[in-house]
Amino acid sequence: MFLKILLKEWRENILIFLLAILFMIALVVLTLTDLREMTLNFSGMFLLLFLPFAALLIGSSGFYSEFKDNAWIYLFSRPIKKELLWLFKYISLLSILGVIFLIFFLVKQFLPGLDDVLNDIKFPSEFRDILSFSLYFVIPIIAFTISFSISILYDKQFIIFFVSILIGAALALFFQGYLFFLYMTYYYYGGFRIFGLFIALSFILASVITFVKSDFSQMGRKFLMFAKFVILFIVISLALGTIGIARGDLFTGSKAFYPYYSVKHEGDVYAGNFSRGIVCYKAESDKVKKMVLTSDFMSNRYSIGRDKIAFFKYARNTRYGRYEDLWIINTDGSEERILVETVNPATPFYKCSIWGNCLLSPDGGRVIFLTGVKNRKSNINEVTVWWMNTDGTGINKKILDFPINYTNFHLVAWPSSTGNLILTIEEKSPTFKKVADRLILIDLEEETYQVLFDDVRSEFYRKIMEVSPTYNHLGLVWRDHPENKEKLVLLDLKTLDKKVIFEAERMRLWAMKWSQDGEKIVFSRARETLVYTLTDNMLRKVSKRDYGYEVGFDWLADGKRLALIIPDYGDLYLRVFGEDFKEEKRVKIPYPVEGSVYLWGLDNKVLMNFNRRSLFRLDLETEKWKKVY
Amino acid sequence: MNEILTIKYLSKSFGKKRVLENFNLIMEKGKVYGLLGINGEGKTTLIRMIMGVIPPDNGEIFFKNKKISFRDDAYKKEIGFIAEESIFYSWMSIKELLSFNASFYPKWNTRKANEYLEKFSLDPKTKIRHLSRGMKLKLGLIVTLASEPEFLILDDPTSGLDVPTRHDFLKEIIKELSESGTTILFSTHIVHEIEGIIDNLGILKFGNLILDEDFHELKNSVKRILLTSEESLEDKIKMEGIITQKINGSQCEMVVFPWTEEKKQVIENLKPTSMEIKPLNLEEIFISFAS
Repeated sequence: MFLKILLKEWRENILIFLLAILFMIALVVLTLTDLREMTLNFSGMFLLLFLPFAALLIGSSGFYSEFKDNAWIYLFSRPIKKELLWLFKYISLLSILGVIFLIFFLVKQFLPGLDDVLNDIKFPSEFRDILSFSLYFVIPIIAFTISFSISILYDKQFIIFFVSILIGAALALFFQGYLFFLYMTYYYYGGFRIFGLFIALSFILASVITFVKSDFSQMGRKFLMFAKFVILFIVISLALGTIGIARGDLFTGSKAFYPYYSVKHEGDVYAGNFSRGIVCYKAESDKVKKMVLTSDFMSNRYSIGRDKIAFFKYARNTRYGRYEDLWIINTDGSEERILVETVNPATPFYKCSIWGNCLLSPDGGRVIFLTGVKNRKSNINEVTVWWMNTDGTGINKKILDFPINYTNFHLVAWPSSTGNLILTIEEKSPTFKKVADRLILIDLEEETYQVLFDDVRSEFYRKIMEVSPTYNHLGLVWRDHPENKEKLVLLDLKTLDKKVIFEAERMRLWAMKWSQDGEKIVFSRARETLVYTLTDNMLRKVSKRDYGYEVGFDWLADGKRLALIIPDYGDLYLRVFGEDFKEEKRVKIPYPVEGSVYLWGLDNKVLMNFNRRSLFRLDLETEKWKKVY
Repeated sequence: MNEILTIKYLSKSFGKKRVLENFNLIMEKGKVYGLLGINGEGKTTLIRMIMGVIPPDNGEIFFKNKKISFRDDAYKKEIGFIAEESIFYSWMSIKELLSFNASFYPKWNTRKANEYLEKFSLDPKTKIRHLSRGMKLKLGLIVTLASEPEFLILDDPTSGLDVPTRHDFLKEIIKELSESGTTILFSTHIVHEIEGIIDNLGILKFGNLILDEDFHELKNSVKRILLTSEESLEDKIKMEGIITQKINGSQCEMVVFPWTEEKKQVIENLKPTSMEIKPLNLEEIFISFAS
């Protein structure tokens, strides 16, 4: 039966499908002739004009043929459930749109020229991708759903077509306004797809109920019933969407814990979370505390110094749009306050655009950060370094007068002892291609800078460039020449001496971690974990494994014992090594693991993250587990 | 009782217009039920409610003693329905329509469908929009017959048809079906054509059945009486069951239902000079009751 309906709907809309194919043939021809600009324009026309209008046309044709020949009487008298009839027709018509999408993706996939032009459009391959499915395709699907849903109400297809546009535009405006209001209230601005989904569901439900329950022969009654239900469901959607957004975890996975941006500080573990701000595992209370609530939080853009946290917080208003300020909060969660206001004309930071991250001095008394602007004439980024006391006094600034085009600034170290700032920058060629990441040192007093390393690895989502807790050394990976091996180097932050402790053709470093006293560094690379001790200049291999992905490891609070995750015959074990690197303890991990395991060594406790949404604490004495997040 | 369809207190309005009001009906299995009524009396509305096409405002419908709701669909597998208008998808070919319907009915008989296509000289490749009204009726009938229904509902199917087609349809197909035990509800306003077919007769007026009788008994018990008397008959005839009455001085013509010996005695007591008792055909019965 479904097949018959499918064939019927396809047959009735075959012209739109053929038109889409014609569009795609034209796209192929344009791409093959290498007319990049025209291909881009034509693709835009296809995605932004043709697809939504085709979706509206297909949707509005929903019950046209049933009205046209009074065939609804015939159809309703057949032995088929009305809700199934609705669903079969919906799926059948949606499949036309789906096949157009699919052909488009296939053309794009097998036509490198087009793939290159439209590289930001991807086909959703798994469920979570569907929620982030490009708006190019979400909007046509919503438009189709609205027009199909209301096509049960009236027999004139063009009226349905235009009414759908009006309804869609009105709802889009309303929800955008409402989302802006939510953003101001809840610091969250990612709900368009949630509301889009809810709107589509509201129309589907109202349409199915009206179709099943109402008298099709009486337009007035039918319309009233539809209007009643659609308003009801939209109100429910509004409430559910608001709750979801207020909670911040509906569909967004925003409760997810991002272990790679964690900071272990004085026995506690801090971590950033994209949409909620900063959370902290407090060892004393054995609980996770929400420290800072902020929107669009870039997880590595906070810094801890003694008893203070500096972080950036986004805000938005009608005058300045989206902007960000620098805030300070105490590590006990008290005294959250704004330090740098970029939209306050009374401050020297007025209209400054903050770039990169910030750093607190080890004593928490001073903070340093960057602001920048692109010079439109020279096309070179002009960057200003600002440093000041965390009570707002002692504001200093220096304009970094780089002669070449640098971008992606990331502050790495700012030891109090020298007053020098170390940061990584990405050098771009005149054609804006990446040349290399440089590690540079800026003498803030002398106003000079020097390149310390020409080509360093700087993926800050991994801990592969780490300052020791004593601020004496910086561990990093460096390649001094493209044909040479990669080197794991310790940079003495006082003397700027470089010490190579390990070399490999490809370092494949997962992470490195310093002991609390700054005398030992453990690093995991490729399939092995090694420890280097500064005092005796010794490099020891602690473990070897059969697979090449990251494992969790960290020093315990005493700085002598090392905790390490090691697989054994398919099971995962936490193993604790003593000062002599002999195994002292082995505990089987009883929880399912998704991807890598992250681990933080504390005072006789270990904190572990097996999946993105939870955090477990293991007491090494009692071997008892506790879920703390 | 061997009931196939029972309707209790069925009501339906369109806007302010009340079309059916507390409508009741019982149909027995294997009978042909003629439903008569002038246009706009609610015959089509009643049938559409039985078929689940439109919902009733109130009341209940039972098919084979099982209550059916507006959302039910299973019972429709056992009901064939031919509507007044040509309500197919006009772009479909005959073959496509048959194939479309075959997917709905588990008892679909393709062999029978092909036989009737041949019998009615219909080309399967012909588009429905190219069919005449009579051909569409034949196609509807083929769909219905191929689904092998237990119960057939015909909503004024022959209106607008030419005489030979109507004759074919009524005499050959409907008779054949009724003889094979299929229950038929035949709604029409062309009265005389169902006279030789129906077992029961219902007349719909003002949203309700004003007559619901076994047709053969009805024919025996409804009579036209023609009286002539020496005296004026004005205000003299007083008895129940007078359906229509025309008095012109000493002459009177009336239709009486039911005609009984007691009523005959009442008339004879008036000592008429002449009394003629005539039977009525279906058209006359309908006119008498519907007027």
